[in-house]
Amino acid sequence: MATPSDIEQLYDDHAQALFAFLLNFTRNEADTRDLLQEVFMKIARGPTLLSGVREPRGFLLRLAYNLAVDFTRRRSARQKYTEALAAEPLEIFAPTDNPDVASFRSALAVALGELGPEQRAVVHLKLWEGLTFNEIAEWLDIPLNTAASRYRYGVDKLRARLRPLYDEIQ
Amino acid sequence: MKKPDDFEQQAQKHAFRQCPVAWRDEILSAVREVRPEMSQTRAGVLPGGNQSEFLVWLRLWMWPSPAAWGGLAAIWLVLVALGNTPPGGTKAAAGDRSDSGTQIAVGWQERTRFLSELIPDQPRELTPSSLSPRSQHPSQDHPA
Repeated sequence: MATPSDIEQLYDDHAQALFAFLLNFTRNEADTRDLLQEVFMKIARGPTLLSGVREPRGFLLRLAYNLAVDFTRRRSARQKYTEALAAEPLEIFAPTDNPDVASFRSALAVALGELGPEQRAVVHLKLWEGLTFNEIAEWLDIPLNTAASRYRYGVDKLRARLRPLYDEIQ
Repeated sequence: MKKPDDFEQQAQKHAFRQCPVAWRDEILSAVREVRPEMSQTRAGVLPGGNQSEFLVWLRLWMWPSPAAWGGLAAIWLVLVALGNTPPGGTKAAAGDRSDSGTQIAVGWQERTRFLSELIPDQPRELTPSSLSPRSQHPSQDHPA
């Protein structure tokens, strides 16, 4: 039973993964900042939350996901916030000097924005966190088949959208 | 499990932006306001880390809204308590129930006495005539 030594250590170990996940989910840097802080505030307010947690990364990603879903639902009630932000170009990937790679990253960011937030979350966890469908289903509290189908349809959309660019840089 | 295809492998190679460095101090400062003792526990275990497995399980089970679940449980307990309270909820009501219990006991005693009068304690001695068919001793069954 691994217990993280403290919140600073937790931040150093997991903030980057949480940042990428939240940025991809919210498509907004300010919201990502607020949600990332909220994750660690939750842990600070309830330090025993992590007692008995074997996978702090999974627990934190799940916490971040739930906070992000609540956040976007609150926003969506007032306006079509998520869709509007997703349509905006956002540099979510690391900058690069290679123009082909930069072009692909930019297109990938836009294509990810065209997915629904929950579909995007599954695609992110599978591709960039390397999770299995079982882990995704457990962490996002969704059925296994839902996790698999969200991923399959999401990747199919990305592939179709990026095929021309992808063929170029191969 | 299906292996990732070329496209998936290609996409995985693209790293996300780095989390802004300045956020670390900002966020941890905000966290310190909630938990001032945090900076002293750097090498230690988080407070409460030795809680029983049951409490840990309970907390995880109730997550993310322990207050809501706790409130629901409290309401349920109140309803159960109200359901078990006697009508009126007073000693008088309890006394009434006691009186009705006494009446039932007296009634039961009267019924027992009545039955004992109808049924003699000693069973009737069986005689040969009593073993014969009733049609053969009409004088007993049809007294004048």
